[in-house]
Amino acid sequence: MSPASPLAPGVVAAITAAVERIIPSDDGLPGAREAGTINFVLGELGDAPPRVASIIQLALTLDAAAVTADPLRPGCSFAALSGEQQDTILLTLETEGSPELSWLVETTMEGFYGDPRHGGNANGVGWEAIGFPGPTGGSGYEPPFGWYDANEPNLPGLGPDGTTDPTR
Amino acid sequence: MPAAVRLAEKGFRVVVLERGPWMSRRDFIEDEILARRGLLWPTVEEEPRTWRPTDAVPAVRLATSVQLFSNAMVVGGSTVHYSALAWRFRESDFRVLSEEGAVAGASLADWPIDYTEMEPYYDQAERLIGVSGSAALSPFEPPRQHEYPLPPVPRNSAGAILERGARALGLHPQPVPLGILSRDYDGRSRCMAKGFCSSYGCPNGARASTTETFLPKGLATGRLEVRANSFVTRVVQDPATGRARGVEYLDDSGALHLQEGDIVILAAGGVETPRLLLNSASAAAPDGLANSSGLVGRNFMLHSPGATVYAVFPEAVDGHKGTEATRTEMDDYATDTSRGFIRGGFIHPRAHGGEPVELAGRPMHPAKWGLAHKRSMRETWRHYLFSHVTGESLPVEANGVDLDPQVKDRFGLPVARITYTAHDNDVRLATWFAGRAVEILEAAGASRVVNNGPVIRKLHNHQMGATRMGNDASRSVVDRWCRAHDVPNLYVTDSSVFVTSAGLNPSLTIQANALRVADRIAATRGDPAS
Ligand SMILES: Cc1cc2nc3c(=O)[nH]c(=O)nc-3n(C[C@H](O)[C@H](O)[C@H](O)COP(=O)(O)OP(=O)(O)OC[C@H]3O[C@@H](n4cnc5c(N)ncnc54)[C@H](O)[C@@H]3O)c2cc1C
Ligand code: SF4
Repeated sequence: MSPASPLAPGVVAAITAAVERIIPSDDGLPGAREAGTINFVLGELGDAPPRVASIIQLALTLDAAAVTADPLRPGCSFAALSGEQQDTILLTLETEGSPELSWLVETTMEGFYGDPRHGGNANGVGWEAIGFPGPTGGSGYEPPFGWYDANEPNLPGLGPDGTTDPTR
Repeated sequence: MPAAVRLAEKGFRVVVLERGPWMSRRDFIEDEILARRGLLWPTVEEEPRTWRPTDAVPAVRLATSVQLFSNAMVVGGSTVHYSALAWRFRESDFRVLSEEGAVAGASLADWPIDYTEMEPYYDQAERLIGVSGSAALSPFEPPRQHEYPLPPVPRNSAGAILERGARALGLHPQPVPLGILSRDYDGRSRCMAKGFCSSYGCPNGARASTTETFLPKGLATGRLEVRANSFVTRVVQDPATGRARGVEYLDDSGALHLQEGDIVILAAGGVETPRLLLNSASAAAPDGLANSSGLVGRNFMLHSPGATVYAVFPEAVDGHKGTEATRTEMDDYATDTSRGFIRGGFIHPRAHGGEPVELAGRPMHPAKWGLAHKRSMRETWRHYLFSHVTGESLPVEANGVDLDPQVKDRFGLPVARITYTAHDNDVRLATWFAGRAVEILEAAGASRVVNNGPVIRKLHNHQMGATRMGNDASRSVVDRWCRAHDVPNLYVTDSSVFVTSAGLNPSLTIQANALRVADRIAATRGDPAS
């Protein structure tokens, strides 16, 4: 469910659908939908008029493209198209270098992979998807950190914790 | 900050004016979104800047993506969130004209000081901030009286990969000297290797922010006062004596104040210092303060055009742990003309530090969004690193900072207009070094390497040269003591005074030089005649 937004429901529906194609869930793993990424995106729009205007423009463009995308369902909205059809429209916009789409892609990434405290990445699903435990919040790590520092011989005199320097 | 603290320790009463807030360890949150929104640096709304490649074309406003990471607006400046590579410049870096001869299109010159004069100050700076490194393990180190005060920080996988690739190529991997504590030192705790390092404030004070290193010592004297949220608008010159009376600044309520002083030191960074001098024009100095040479803002340098190389490895790198760059190779630093360019640089593969949004936008995925992007994120996150190439850029007189004739900041002052096109030598250098990084990463067993090649650099976090130091008042802005040729009690202590850029990060040199200048001011009480 979308949060309260000053945008018309049709605009929110089109943008939500686009966000859910930018990070889809078709592979059975959580995507933008499960992460509530649209909440973050709408939050970022805030009340900055130029940005709101450009996102409305993007929604109108998506819906206009949808009208011609599916000859069997004339007058269809972007949100009602299949994922594949939506992808085709988004790809066209990307090829045309749409700045609105590029803002939406960047902001969607923020709302999926960014810190949950800003309203996206619900329950850290975006971090879980890639194997990131998130910020340590006050604690740290001990070496070895990864496979290579555990396995590649170190510089002479430097021990497993990396710092042991017998000369000092 | 180093100069202010040294002077307070020597008995001077010092006021530091900083336009940004005064933050403390608990303000430094590991939050990528906040970092991207300018927690520690001005947004483009707070500080617009413009850029043009040459003066033949109109300037455009710089985008957030360019300004982000190029600047600071906080007490402590960019040392609050820098990566803390703490290099000494090499002997040859102070005499590039003598070493290389004149180069077409470049305004090469020797520094009026040399490495020998700087060495004791490098030594002091390393001890004051706590640099971890190993001269014994660094075959290309310049002469030094002491070993680094601390052993190297623990190596991460990016460092081990550099070692592996460099060894395979017969090169000599070495620790990166870092202003990050490998052990508890001087009342500060060692690094806890938690990621979110570069671009973030350090919440336990292990990284050498000047607020951790110099500032507490200055405050302890009782003679140093820091006024945060204080934006300096101009240096006021006394037309009768030609001396600086002090500076005007706006406090956070917008009220204008005059802070008088016997000595004025500018350290506002490589762009804001020249801008401030130009914004200080008066009837006595119509082209800007300290600008009788016409060189305020000229010879601006940004380091070679930033090739970044990305690599994915079969085993886990886990770059969200530890600090960022821990190993490098310096084999390629000296000039080798068979490569088709002069001067050099170094390669430093880095752990990403824990920034998945950043990874999402990197040029290593088969698509920018969609299922293929999502899969690629999963496959690369634990396995990737990126390697910066830092290399020398040659000074070009036409490259510079001046006042934009149209764009004003939030206080109504003209903003900095940057005019910058890298010298061809810089582009050749960056191209070669990116190729070298690819070679090293492939030799280390990367499954995939993406070389994004040199980029057009409009701005960068290393900003140097725009108030050049020199003995000849007609060819430089400040003298060998970093005192303005035109204004006897005005000093500059940031990287604006650099004559050439070296192929190394600038901060330790800024700090060592600031200490050198402060000692001179103290010895002469700022009186040039003594
Ligand atoms: C992400 C990042 C990583 C870096 N990594 C390294 C590294 O590994 N090694 C290294 O050597 N360097 C590194 N640097 C660069 C290094 O931080 C800078 O070169 C160095 O801090 C410059 O010091 P400075 O004092 O000249 O300027 P700054 O650190 O920029 O400080 C200038 C201060 O002046 C203030 N100011 C500007 N104008 C005014 C005004 N009109 N009134 C009042 N205050 C004003 C600014 O707000 C700022 O806080 C990095 C920088 C960044 C951003
Ligand atoms: S990794 Fe170490 S130096 Fe870096 S921010 Fe964390 S504790 Fe500080």
